[in-house]
Order: sequence, then C-alpha cells, then structure tokens
Amino acid sequence: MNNNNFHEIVNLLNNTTELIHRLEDDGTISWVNTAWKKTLGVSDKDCLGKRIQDYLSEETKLKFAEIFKRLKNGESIENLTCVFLTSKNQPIYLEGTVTPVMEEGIVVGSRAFFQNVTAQRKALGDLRQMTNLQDILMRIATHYINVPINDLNQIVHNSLGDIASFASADRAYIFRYDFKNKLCKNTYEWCDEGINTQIDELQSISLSDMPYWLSKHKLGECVEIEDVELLEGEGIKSRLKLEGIKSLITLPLMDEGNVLGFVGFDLIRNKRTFSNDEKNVLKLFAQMLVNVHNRLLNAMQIEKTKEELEQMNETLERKVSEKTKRNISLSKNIIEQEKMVTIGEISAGIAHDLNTPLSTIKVGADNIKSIIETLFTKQITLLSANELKRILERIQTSQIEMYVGGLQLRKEKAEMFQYLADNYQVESPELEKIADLLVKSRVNKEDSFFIQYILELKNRIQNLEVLYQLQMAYSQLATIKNSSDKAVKVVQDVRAFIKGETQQEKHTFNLKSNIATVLGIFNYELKKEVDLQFNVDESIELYGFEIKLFQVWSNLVKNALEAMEDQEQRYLGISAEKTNTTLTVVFENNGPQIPSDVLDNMFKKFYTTKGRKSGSGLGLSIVKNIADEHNAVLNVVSDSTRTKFIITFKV
Amino acid sequence: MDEIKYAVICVDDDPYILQMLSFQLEKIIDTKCTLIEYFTDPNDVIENLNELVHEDIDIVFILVDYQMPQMNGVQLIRSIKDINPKLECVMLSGQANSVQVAELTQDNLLTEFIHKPWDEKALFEVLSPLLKNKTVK
Repeated sequence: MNNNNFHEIVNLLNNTTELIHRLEDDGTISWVNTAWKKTLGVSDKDCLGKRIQDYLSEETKLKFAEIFKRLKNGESIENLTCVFLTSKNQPIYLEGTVTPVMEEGIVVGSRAFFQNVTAQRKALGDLRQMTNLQDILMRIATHYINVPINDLNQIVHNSLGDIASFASADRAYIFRYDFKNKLCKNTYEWCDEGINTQIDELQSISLSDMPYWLSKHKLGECVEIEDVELLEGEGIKSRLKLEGIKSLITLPLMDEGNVLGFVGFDLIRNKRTFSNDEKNVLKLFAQMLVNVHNRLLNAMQIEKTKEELEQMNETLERKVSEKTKRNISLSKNIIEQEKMVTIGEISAGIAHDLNTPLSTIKVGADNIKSIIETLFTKQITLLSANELKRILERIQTSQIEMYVGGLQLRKEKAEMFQYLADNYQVESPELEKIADLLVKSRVNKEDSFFIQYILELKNRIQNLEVLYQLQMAYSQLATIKNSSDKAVKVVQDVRAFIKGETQQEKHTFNLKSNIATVLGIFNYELKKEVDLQFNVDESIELYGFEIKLFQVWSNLVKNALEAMEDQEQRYLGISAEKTNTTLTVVFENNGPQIPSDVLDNMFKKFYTTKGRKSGSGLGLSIVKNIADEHNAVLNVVSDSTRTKFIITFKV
Repeated sequence: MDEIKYAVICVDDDPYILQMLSFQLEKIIDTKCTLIEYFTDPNDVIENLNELVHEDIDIVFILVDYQMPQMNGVQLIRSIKDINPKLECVMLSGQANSVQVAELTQDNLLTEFIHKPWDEKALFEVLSPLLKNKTVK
C-alpha cells in the first residue's frame, strides 16, 4: 500500500458515521476515527495511549474483560452491545463488531466498528416509559371510575405510589391550596421505602412562602427543579436541601381554569429531569386527580343531597303521619257525629217510642189510683181475710187481657147468663149482674169450680166487684211493667247505639240482637207502613266491633227508608246466611233502582244524592269504612224491583 | 138484656193503650147500651164498622191512634169518613205536629185530638160532649 492509498483509507474511515477504534492487546487505544472522537467528545491527544476502560460504563467494563479473553483466543464478537461514556459522563449506546488483529498467528490487538444507537435506544426507552406510564394511568383511571367512593382515598394514595415508582421519584404528594386562609396543605403522601414522611410537617404552609410556585400553578404551568443546588434564592432552596431533595417537579391541579392544588414528585436519591412526554403524562395524572376530586365532591354533594332528601322525607312522613292522625281522629269525630245526626234525624221516632209506654204508665198509674180508692171506699171492707186471699190467689194465677170488644163481651155475657141460669138458683137481676162481673173479670164457664165458690158466698156480688177491680189493677200493673220494659229497651237501644269509643274492642256477639238494637231505634220509622222481614237466625255469632256495626245497620236501614220514601209499598228484608267460611248479611229494599253513576260513587265520602234535604254524604262511606275494618266485602245490587246491600264477612 | 144502641171504637196497635182506655172508658160509658170495641189492626176496623152500621148501631165516636204499622190514623180516618161522613173521629197520638194531621183538621175530618200521654180528666172532657145525650154512666 502506498502512502496515497493509506491516506485515502484513513480519510474514508474518518468520514464514516461508525465509531472505529484500534486497541493494543492490553486495551490501550492506538487509533480512533473522527466519529469516535466526536461522539465521545475527545481529541487524539486526550485518548491515544489511554486505556479503553476509561471510556466504558461500569457494566461494559465487566463485559470487556470477557471480550478481551475471547479476542486473545482469536475470536470475533459480533452484535456486541455496549455503553461508552463521553467526556461529560453521558452514556453512548453502541452496537457493533469487535475483531482481533493477528500478526503471524498471534493476537496483537483488536479493532471495533460500532454504530451509535443511543438515539434509537433513548427513543425506545422513552416509548416504553410512555407506554408504561399510560398503562399506569389507564389502570388508575379505571380504578378511579370503578372504585366505591369510600375507597377513593386509598386509590389516590396507591396511584401516587405507582406513578412515583415509575417516574423514579422517591416521594409523591398532593397539596391543596386554601386561598381563604392563604395556606396550602399536604393532603396525600406516598414515600418509597427508606424515605422519611413529611406530611405531618406540611399541614399549613403559608402561600407567601411560595409566590413563584403559586404564580406558575395559577397559570396551569408546572414547576420543575432539575437541580436544587442550582436554585437561586435561599428560602426555598435551604428548605429543599434540608429535606434532602435533589430534583422535583410539581404540577398544578386545574379545575376549569382554577388551581385547586398541586401534585409533586421529589427525587432524593438521584436527580433527574423529566421529558416533555413524561410531563404530559404527569399532567394527565394531575387532571385525573382533579377528576377524582370532583367525583369526591359530587359524591359528597350527592350524599349531602341524599341526606337532605332523607331528612325531608322523614319530615314529610312525620307531617303526613301527623296529618293522617289528625284526619283519623277527625274522621272518628265525623263518624261519631254522623251517629248523633242519625239519632237526631230519628229523634221524633225515638220520642214517640218513649212516649207510648210512658203514656200507658201514666194512665195506668192514674187508673190504679182510682181502683184503690174505689176498693177502699167501697167493697173491700166488706170482705173477710179469707175471701180476699182467695181473690188474690185467683188474680195471681191468671194472665188476662182486660180489654175485650163490646160485641164479644156481650156474647160471652149471654152465654154466662144461660150457664148460670141452668146450673144455679139465682134471681134474674142478680144473675145478670153476676154474669156481667164474671165475664168482665174474665172468668169463663170452664172455671166452674171458682164460679161455684163465688156463688156460694153470702156477699158474692161484693166479692165479684173486688175481683174485677183487683183484676183490673193487676192487669194495669202488668201493663205498666211491660211499658216500662219497652221504655227501658228504647233507652237501652239508644244508649247502645251512641256508646262512645271506649268500648270499641272486637269481640264475639250475637248478630240478631245487634241488628235488633238498631231496628229498635228505628222502630217508629219502621212502623210507617214498612213490611219488615227480619230473618236472622238467633244462633249466628259475629266477631267484630259491635258498636261500629250498629252504624252499618242503621245507615243501611236509614238509606232504605229514604230510598223507599215515595214508595206505595215499602219492603225491608234483613237476612243472614252463614257458611263455614263466610257470613253474608243482606239488607234488601224495594226502593227505585240506583243509577250506575250513583253506584260508582255512593261509597265515596260526602257523596250524596239527597241534596240539602238530608244526609251528610257520609252514611255509606262509613258503612264502607266499617266493612273494611272487618275485612268484609260490601256489594250493592240494584234493579228495578230490589236494591240489595250485601256484606260478606270472613268467618 | 138491654138493647145495644151505641158503640165506641178504639184503634191502637199497642194493646197496653187499649188496656188503659178500656178501664177509663168504662167509667164514663154505659156499657149496658154501648159496645166498646177495640182494634189493634186498623184493617179490621172498616169491616166491623160496616157490620155495626148494618145493625143500626149508632157509633158515638172512633178513637184512633196516629202511628200504626199497617196504616196510619189519618189514612184510617179518611177511609172511614168516605163511608161514614158523620162519624166523630178523635185522634189519640204522641205525634203532635204531623202535616197529615193538620191537613185532616183543615178538611174538617177530625173532631178532637188527644195527646199521649193523656190525662183521664182531659180524656173525659173531650169525650163527654160526644157521649152526652147518648150513653152516659
């Protein structure tokens, strides 16, 4: 090779982008090309004669120890990857081939041809980093979305850890700005193992201590300190140095242009810088935190609203229940009132029912008075004790009606006269008197023994007079007694009917007497040409509210009577039928057919077809209410001939 | 036996009332010449009334209760008056203010009205003028 050729080749080697070096067998650099020097930032003067190890990373140094052994064996190493260090200690990634240089079969050195793959490496690394960051963000985002609100705090804490590990940060934290109190406060913190926690000391930092950070954050920009040592201004620097922080980055938490706080990452063991892509990812994370924060706020708002709603609900419920209670007590009053209205409406009838027996009692008392006076002023003194005793016995053992029609009386007198004439020797005028007194005293021919006794008496006329008078007195007394019973019954019925709520307990009672009480109250009205057919078996018992059912019957009776008011013939049928499972009570009247629109509404409160004439419009709604209380079904069937109210109780 | 010339008729669905009346009426009515008939069912009245009229018996008065289940006193009096316009009708009732009774009075169909409960004295005062010159004990 001539000199020209040699220069030509060197020139060629110096113009390639490959890094080429020539080493002695002990690793001393004997030649390097231009690309090598340029890449590592050295000159010939710097490197020639130096050992290659000075330019290798720690890892590659170890690798080269192995490589030298293989070179000595004459082996070539292809596809070697190694890391060189520039004069400024920056790593350079190289890929290439190292081959031994042989002279007469002996290895005298080596040469290497390397491609600089640092840029690719870095790009790949960045790509991986980004992918991983995005993975983490995705994972965090998914967590944030799916996690129950109560676990969010834990998730925030965990995600801080994830992001921090990935960004090789030793500590990650979230601060909240409190503009009202001009403070900021550390709310979350994650520390790597061996790193001291600081959250407790960072609970109230004055915003005036960090004007630069705040101004950057307010603009939505992050604060990055690549090297704390290079900071100007002693305040923050000394503080960060004290905490052992080498680098840090903080990113604002922005919500619709307002800064809520910031998330930050401290580097304590090694300092590092963050690429734009990394910063973008961290910004994304910051945004995510804001979203979480908003979600928390929303959740809290929802929770608060829910609580308020629940409270409102509770209040409403309470109010409704109070109102309902009032309404119930009101309707109880109405029901009670309705009962009194009924009594009022039929009070004339009740008065009549009381008046009639009272009449008899009064008249009877007068009559007895006059009988007694007659007896004592006249005959009674003429009779012996034995005679009186005999008369009393006779009266006490006979139950007689003392009013007998004149025609009947006359007929009986004639017969008695004949009988006496046939059997006894008595003079005619006296015989007639005796016959008259015997018949009036309701002694008939079959009482021959008594007649015999009377006729044998010396003062038989006087005896008969006393018998008649006493008989009269006794029957008047019986009448008074019966009339009193009737009056008492009326009063009892009314009292039972209007009995208050105090005895409103369910119990078993007799259906017939229950209905009869109501019929007793309506006795007067029912007597007005009503054909009453009351066919309820005396054996039927019913379990329910006795007093309340009075109102059912009374309203049904009242209703029927009102319906039939214009009717020529009035029919009210009351019947009951009991099966093993049901008890059906039917009130039937022959009032006019009820129109279907009335049928639809008749059980509604205050519905009335009676206009101003009568009725509160409550009668049938009360019937329905009370039927409901008994779990009884109320049906109405109405056609042109009959209207039936059918109540079916479950037994 | 004395000849029956007169009759008095009492109608009340309550037998106890009739019981009381019978005692009192016998005090002022001469039963030797007068029949006192009692009815608890107004429906029986018309028929018996016709019979009495047929037998030429003078019906002095008819005493009628107002409230009766089968037929009220006003209706009874109206139907009696249809047949016997001259018959004196007396109403005995606790029902003082009935429109029907008022109408009856307006129509001059009612001779007297006696309130229940009645006084023996008041009863006699009302009935005596009717009995006068006919059958007085």
